[in-house]
Amino acid sequence: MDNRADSYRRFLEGDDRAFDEILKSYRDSLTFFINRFVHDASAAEDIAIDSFMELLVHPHRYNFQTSLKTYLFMIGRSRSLDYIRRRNRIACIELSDAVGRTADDALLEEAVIADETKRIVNAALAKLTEDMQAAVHLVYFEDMSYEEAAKVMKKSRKQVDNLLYRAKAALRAALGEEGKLLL
Amino acid sequence: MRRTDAEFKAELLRRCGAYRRTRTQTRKKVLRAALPLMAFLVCVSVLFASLESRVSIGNGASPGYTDDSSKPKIVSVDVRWIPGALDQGSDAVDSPSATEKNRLRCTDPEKAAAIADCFASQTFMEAGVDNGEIPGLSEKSLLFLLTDETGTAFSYQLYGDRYLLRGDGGWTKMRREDAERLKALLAGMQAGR
Repeated sequence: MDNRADSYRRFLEGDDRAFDEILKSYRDSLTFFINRFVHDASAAEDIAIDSFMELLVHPHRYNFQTSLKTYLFMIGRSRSLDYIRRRNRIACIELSDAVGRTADDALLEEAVIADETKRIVNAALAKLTEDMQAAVHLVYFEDMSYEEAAKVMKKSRKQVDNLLYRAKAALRAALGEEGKLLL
Repeated sequence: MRRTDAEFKAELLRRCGAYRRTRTQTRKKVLRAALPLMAFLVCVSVLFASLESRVSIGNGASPGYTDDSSKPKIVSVDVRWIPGALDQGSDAVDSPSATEKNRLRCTDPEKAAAIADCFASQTFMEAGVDNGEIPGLSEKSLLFLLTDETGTAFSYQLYGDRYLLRGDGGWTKMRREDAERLKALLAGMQAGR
């Protein structure tokens, strides 16, 4: 698995183009993951920018022990939860909620999920709890190991295991016969 | 509207710049606000340091010196084991009760200097310290008479592990490591007697 930690190391050593590689690799997937929490494509993009900014302004915080992707997704999740908390304090109606699924959401999905099977699963994910969605997303869409997903979600491996077991059962039920074939 | 890659990066760099500027300004503000307090603390610590180095006791300069130039050269040390009671003072050195057994004299300048060195750093105890707070006060104590090359003597009476009654009547506390070093030196002197 290319975790882009090498690119980040090169960037820290002065190679500015190495950061472009990181952006290219993780921009869409991170934004898509964040959108899973915030349900607003432009807010998700803003939060993704903030997450990447963490790499630029606090380079010493990344210890090169975990993969860069895991680290970025951890920041993304944490920032998303902060954003949701802030948004809940200031009661407002999201435009995306008012108009339903926006064109940006569709574009984002298109950019990240090329596989038709995964799109079907993605469509059914909305029926699951937020934790289940995140667990399925990280393991199924981002090909992360259970350990990495657990790190991002700040849960134990066993908890992620349970979440995925329950999520699969719920998805099978939601997708009917098609689900039994897919999962 | 979804940003292009170039727009995404430009926005990222703009935010980084803004963040760094804000951080620098915040640090400057904090530093500016803390400056008077820091200056005050430096003044207080300098004041205490100078006070501590100027304290003298009893007859002559204090072995609580801080610089080598004012350091009296101790050439002999007399030690007496005396009953632990206040007001015995230096009279106990020549009292009839001070038998050969509980008396120790060191005229080796090197050893004497090593003993004197144990008294070099002391923590001053609060003025008006209650005698009841001194551990070992009612037990046997040690009286030290340190004599320098001019014949000036400095006296210390050691109670408990490290509580000192100085020649000027003030109470101080030895540093733990100094007290332990002193104990080891005394044990060595006793063994070599």
